[in-house]
Amino acid sequence: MRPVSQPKEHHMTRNPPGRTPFSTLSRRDLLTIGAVGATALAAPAVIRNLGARPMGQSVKESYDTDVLVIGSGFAGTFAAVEASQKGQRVLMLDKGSVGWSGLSPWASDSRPFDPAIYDREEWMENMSTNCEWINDRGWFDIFMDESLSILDTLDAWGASRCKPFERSRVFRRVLEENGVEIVERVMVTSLLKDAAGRVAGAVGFTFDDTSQDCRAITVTAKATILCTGAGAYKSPGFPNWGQTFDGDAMAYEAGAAITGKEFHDTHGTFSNHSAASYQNWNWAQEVTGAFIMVGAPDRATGGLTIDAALRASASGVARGGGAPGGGTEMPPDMAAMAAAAEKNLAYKGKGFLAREGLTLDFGLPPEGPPPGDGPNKGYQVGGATAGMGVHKSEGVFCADYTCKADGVEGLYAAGDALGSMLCGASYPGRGFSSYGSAIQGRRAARFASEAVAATSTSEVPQSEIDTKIAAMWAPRERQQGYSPDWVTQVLQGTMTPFHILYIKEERRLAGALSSIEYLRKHIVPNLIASSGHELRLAHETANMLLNAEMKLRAGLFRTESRGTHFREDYPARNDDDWHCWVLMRRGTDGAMRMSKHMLPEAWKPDASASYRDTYPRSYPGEDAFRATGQAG
Amino acid sequence: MPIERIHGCTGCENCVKACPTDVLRMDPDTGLAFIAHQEACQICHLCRLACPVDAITLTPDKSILPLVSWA
Ligand SMILES: Cc1cc2nc3c(=O)[nH]c(=O)nc-3n(C[C@H](O)[C@H](O)[C@H](O)COP(=O)(O)OP(=O)(O)OC[C@H]3O[C@@H](n4cnc5c(N)ncnc54)[C@H](O)[C@@H]3O)c2cc1C
Ligand code: SF4
Ligand code: SF4
Repeated sequence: MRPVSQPKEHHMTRNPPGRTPFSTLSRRDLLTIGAVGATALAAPAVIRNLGARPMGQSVKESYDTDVLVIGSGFAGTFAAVEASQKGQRVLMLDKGSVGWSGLSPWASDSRPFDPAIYDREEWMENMSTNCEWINDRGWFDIFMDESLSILDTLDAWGASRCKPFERSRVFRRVLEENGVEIVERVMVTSLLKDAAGRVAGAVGFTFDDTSQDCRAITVTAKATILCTGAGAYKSPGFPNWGQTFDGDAMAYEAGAAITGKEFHDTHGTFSNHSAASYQNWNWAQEVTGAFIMVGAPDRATGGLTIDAALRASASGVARGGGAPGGGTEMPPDMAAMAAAAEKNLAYKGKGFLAREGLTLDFGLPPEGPPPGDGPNKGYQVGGATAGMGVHKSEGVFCADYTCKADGVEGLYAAGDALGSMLCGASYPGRGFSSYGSAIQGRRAARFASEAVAATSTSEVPQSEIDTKIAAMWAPRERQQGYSPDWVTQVLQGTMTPFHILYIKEERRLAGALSSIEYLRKHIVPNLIASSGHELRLAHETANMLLNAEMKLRAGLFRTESRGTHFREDYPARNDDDWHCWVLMRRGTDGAMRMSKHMLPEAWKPDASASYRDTYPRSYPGEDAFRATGQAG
Repeated sequence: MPIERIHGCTGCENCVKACPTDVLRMDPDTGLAFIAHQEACQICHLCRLACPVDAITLTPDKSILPLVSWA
C-alpha cells in the first residue's frame, strides 16, 4: 500500500514467493487501477485488492486446553504460571512473542508496598487524590497486599535486576518450566462461545506467510484469560504499535462491558524524530537493574496529568528554540522534588529496602543525559500515545475483583486489558502498572482455575467456529475496498489533534463521532488485505476504530471534568453526578449502550475538605464555572 | 528511514521474534532476515537489542505518508 523505498541490498527485501508484489506498488498506481465498481452509494471509491485469494482451504490447526491465556506480558506470564501451578493445562497465544511484545518489555520502575515501613492510609489517600477519587480502592488494597510478593517472585525468577527487554528470556524459561504450551505470532481475532453461551476459546491466524500460507488457529478452552494489554492509534514515539485494543474488541463482541475510555495517557515525544520510540525510552533499556520507587505516590504532582496538553493550548505553543519544551513544559519543581526525595530517604535501608543490589529511585532525576541520547531532540510535542487510556483504568469491566468479565461466563481479563480502575482518572506517578498486571494475571488465573474445576465441558458448535473463521479471513478474500493503512491514517487525523482527544467540547466530539461512525459503518466492512501482514492490520484497524467510538462516546457522556478527562464546556468536577465509572456494552440492536456504575459513598472525598484540597489540580475556567455555572 | 539495513546476519531469527509489529521476516531461500514491512517500524530497537551479532542499523527518522482521499 505504501510507497516503499527500493531495497538497498537484494537479500533484505523480497516478496513472498508466488505473491503479487503488492507492497511495491505506490498508492498512485493503486488509484489508477482502483475506483472499480461502487458497492454502495455511501462508499463509492474503492481500490482493487491485488492480493485477494480464497482462504476457505487454508490449513486449520486446533488445540484444546483448560485455560487459554491470550497475551504474554506481565499479566499473561503470571496468569499462565499460576493456572499451571493450580493443575490446569495451559495454552498461551500471542501475536508477538513472549516478553518481547506489548508494553511489558519497557517497564523499568515498580513501587512495591511494604507494610513494615509504609503508612497504608497515606498511600490510599494520596492515590485517591491523585487519581481524583474514582480509583478502585479495593484494587489498590489488593495491590498493597500483593505487590511485595511480585517483587519476590520476579527476584526468584531472576527478573528483578535485569534490563527490561531481558525479562523476555526469563518469562519464557519460567513458562516452559511450568509446562505452558506457547503458540506465538498468532493474531487472535474472536472469542468462541459454546452451546450454553459461555466463552470457550478463541480463533486467530498465523500472519507470517513468507514460507508457509496463513493458518487458522482454533483453541477450545474451559476458561479464557485476556492479557492482551491496551492499545493506541499507532501513534509516533511510543513503542506500542502492536497494541490495538484487541481484547476490548473481542470482549465487547462477546457481551462484556468496557470501561475507562474517557481518560488518557499523556506521554509526549520530541519534535526532531517524533516517531522514534527508542529515543524517548533508551534510558529504560540502557540502565542496569529495574528501579524501585520509594515512598508513597504524591497526592498532586507526578504522573501523567493533562497539564501539558492544557498548557499547549493556552499558551500558543512556541515552536523551536527558546525554553525547554518550546513553552509547553513547566520547569520541574526542584524544591518539591528535593523535599520528596528527602522524605523518601528516611525509608532507606528499612524493610525490603534493606535488600542488597536493588536499584532504588529516591525521587531526584538522574544526573546527566541518559546513555545514547542525541544532542538535539527538539521541543516536546504531545500525543505519543494518542488513543491509549490510563494504564489499568481502561478495558474489560469486572464487578467483583475476580477478573471475570461482568455478565460473561468463561471470560477473564487481567493487566492493561482489565478496566480495573486501579489508577482512576489519571496515572499517579510511576511504578503501578507492570506489578498491577502481574497481580491481576495471577488473580485471574486463581478464579479461572476454580471455575474450570466446577465446569462440565460443553461443545463449541462447528458453525460457531466456521462463522468466526470466515469473518477472520474476509478482508483477504474481498476483491475491493480500503487498505488498513489508509483507514488508520484517517483515524489518526480524526482523533489525534488535541482539540478532539484531550481538550473536549460537545460539538467537536460529536463531529468526530460522526466521522468515526461513518468509518465503522461503511469502511470497516470493506477493509481489504493483500497479505498476512495486512490481514493483521485490517483487524487491528477495525479494533482501533471501535475504540475511537468508545472514547468519543464516553467523552460526550461524562459531562464534567476529572483527571485526564477535560471538558471545556464542563470544566469542573461534579461528585454528585459523576462519582462513577462509565460502562459501554453492545446492545441487542448492535448499538453502543452507555451506563453509569456509581461508586460506594465511602469512596467519595471528605465533604468537609475544601474543593481545592480535594482536587489540587485546576482546569482553565474552573473557578468561574463553579461560581456561575457557566463555562466561559 | 526507521529500520534501515541488515548486514552481517547469521540467521538466528531472534529479531523476527522480537519485532512486535511484524516488520521482519526470514527469507526461506537465503535463511537470513530481511525487512519485509518497513513502514510498520515503530523505531523501538528491540530487534537490535535481540541481535547477537549487531547486524541491524536503525535511524530515528520516519517519513509520513501523503494523505489521499481514498486508498
Ligand atoms: C515505554 C514504556 C514505559 C513504561 N514504564 C513503566 C514503568 O516504569 N513501570 C511500570 O510499572 N509500568 C510501565 N509501563 C507500563 C507497563 O509496561 C504495562 O502496563 C504492562 O507491562 C502491561 O502488561 P500486560 O501484560 O498487561 O500487557 P502487555 O505487556 O501490553 O502485553 C499484551 C500482550 O498481548 C498480546 N496481544 C495483544 N493483542 C493480541 C491479539 N489480538 N492476539 C494475540 N496476542 C495479542 C501482545 O502481543 C502482548 O504480548 C511502561 C510502558 C511503556 C510502553
Ligand atoms: S525497531 Fe522495533 S518495530 Fe522496527 S523493526 Fe526493529 S523491532 Fe521491529
Ligand atoms: S537477530 Fe541478527 S543474526 Fe539473528 S536473524 Fe536477526 S539480523 Fe540475523
